[in-house]
Amino acid sequence: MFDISVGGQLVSMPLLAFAGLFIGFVAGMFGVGGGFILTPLLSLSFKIPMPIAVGSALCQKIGTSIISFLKHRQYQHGEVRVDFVMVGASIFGVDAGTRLLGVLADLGTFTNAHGRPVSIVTLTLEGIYAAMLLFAASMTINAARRGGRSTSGAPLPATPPLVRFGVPPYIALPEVGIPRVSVIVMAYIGFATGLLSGLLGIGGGVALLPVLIYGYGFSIKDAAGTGILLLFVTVIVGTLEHALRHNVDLRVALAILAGSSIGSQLGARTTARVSNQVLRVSFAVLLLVTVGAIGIDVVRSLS
Amino acid sequence: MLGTVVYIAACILAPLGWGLVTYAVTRAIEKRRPPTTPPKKPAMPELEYYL
Repeated sequence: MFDISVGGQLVSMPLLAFAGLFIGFVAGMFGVGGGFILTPLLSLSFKIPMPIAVGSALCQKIGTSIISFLKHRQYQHGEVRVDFVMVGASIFGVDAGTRLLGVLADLGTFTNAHGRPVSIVTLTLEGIYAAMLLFAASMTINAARRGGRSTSGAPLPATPPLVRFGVPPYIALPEVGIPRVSVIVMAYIGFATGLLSGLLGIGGGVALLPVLIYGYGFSIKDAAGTGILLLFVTVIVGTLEHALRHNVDLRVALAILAGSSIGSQLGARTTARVSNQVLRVSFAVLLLVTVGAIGIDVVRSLS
Repeated sequence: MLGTVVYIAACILAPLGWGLVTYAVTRAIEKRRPPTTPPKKPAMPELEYYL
């Protein structure tokens, strides 16, 4: 009765809501968006075609990112000039990412050694996801090894690498104490953020935060406060682009959003009872388990 | 054409509306029942907003 057809696959809406509960719990517990687990989850567990999984995940992220935007505008951390510089390029990036996804989807399938068809777009995106999740896991494990000392406490180069990049024109970032940065370089970073969003169905923060922290020398607090507006605009434009290509299933997005609204509250309450170190290790394990699941699916597809 | 416009508008406005409602409800609950313990910082702030 509650099953719906999504891209030719029969999917249970209660199970989707439960998946949303899990994603929301992860987001609330670990302080992350959960988006880069959602799209692989939709593809691996529900067998939803990857373009629809990407589009629906982006649609769901509109709901979560507006909450982040409203919650954190009061904190006044970060540098809004970064958002303004990057947002224009990120819109182009979202378009490029969405078109790239379309090109990959149009490539169709190839036949594996046993004569079974393998989706090229699914295989490609699973590879990219696995790489990103491994990167996030390595960051988390490093942080756990440091015993939770904040990144801002670690010694940074005198001039962070992207600040040294001298391509005019320049802009000052007074809120974070950086005298000048290249607008061109920042625009390309915005483009890359949008590309990842349009291609993978994530908000782009997983790429943006390390760049702000390690490339520009932002403190963690300022990095977390920067880019919220950018990411909010990116997911809206991404949803629009994917909706134009009929890649958004609103039922899927709303079912997940309903579950994640509850899950995030439960996760936030749980995190107060668990130490930071345990949280870091648990998060790294979750990421590695997801990478493992992707790896098993890839091997199964190819064999 | 109209159908496509309505579909796209729904894809953007529906989750936006849901998010606004969720935020409003959460704020209302927090105002009625302020937390008894100080809010804990995210365990991995460097990964915060990994949307």
